[in-house]
Amino acid sequence: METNGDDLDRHVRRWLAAEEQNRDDDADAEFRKVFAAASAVAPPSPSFVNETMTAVQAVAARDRRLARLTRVAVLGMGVSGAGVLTWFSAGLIVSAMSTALTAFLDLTIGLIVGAATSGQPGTTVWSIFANLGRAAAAFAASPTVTLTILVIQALAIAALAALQRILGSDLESSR
Amino acid sequence: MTEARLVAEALSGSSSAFERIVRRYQRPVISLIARMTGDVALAEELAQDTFVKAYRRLQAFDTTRRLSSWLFRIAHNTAIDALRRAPRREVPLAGPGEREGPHMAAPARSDPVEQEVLARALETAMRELRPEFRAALVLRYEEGLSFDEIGHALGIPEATARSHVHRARKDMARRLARAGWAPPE
Repeated sequence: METNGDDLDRHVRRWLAAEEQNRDDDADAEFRKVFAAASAVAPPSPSFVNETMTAVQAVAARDRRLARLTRVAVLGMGVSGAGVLTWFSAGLIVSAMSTALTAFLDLTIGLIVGAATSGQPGTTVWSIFANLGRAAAAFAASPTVTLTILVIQALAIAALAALQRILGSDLESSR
Repeated sequence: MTEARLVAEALSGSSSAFERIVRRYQRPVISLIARMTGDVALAEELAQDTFVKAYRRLQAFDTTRRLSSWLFRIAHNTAIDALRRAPRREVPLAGPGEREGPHMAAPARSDPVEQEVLARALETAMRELRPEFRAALVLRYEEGLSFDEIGHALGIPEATARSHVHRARKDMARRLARAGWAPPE
């Protein structure tokens, strides 16, 4: 790489000539030489790396603390929320669960009866499916059962999201 | 050690791997920011912010890209944010030998005064460019990045990166010509 002053002067003039004559490739090449001959940025201060690593470690420690606090807060809120929810909705939950159990028993009985009657003459595969479908539909069509299924799904999704967040925080803080 | 290996080790919690990344890229990152802001002290401050941001977002690094162009992107955004916050900190660059700013240093020749004037003219022409043009020139001619990589670093399409470099060069040439540095007849 050429770095003396005469080269700088020569390259500047060649570059300007190339620009004036719209010789783009030549201008590009000459400007690269101008930059190499003239460009100089003071080197970083010797303490730069150490200071940067100190800042990085401080940020990492703060992130770990924050992740720990978040984990504790999420767990605390989850446990206390679950306690409050159970306290205030215990009656509803027991009622919904007993309804769901009854409906489940109905479904089981319906399936058994359907299977038993399917052995009679004239029964086809489609009529068996129809019987089973009717029993399943009767089970799901009950508003209480539907609501219970939805509530269970919502609780499962919330639990998975909380678990994912807690595990994510663990990974983050262990880094 | 390869970039991918360094990143993998830094991600697994090795601070010495990240320190190696800082050591390897400190000069080009500071150079880019210094060119954009015109202030080496501020450039070091912003470069430190750049590496801290990089550390926190290391998981988001696309390993199909070069680490340098990802770092330049963070550095460029950090510099742009700083210029928006405090545009008046963009101070004139210091002369050769001073530490306050980057400079077009012209080593000795038969007429040192003329060389000094040429170096100053180049420095002034560069300083008067828009920050993103200056960044494009540094990435192209100092770091040797392709237009695709410059585009990635500056967050612009490749064609725009090409246009930035072309316009910046033309603009500098015009300014130098106005300052009396005419091409030979």
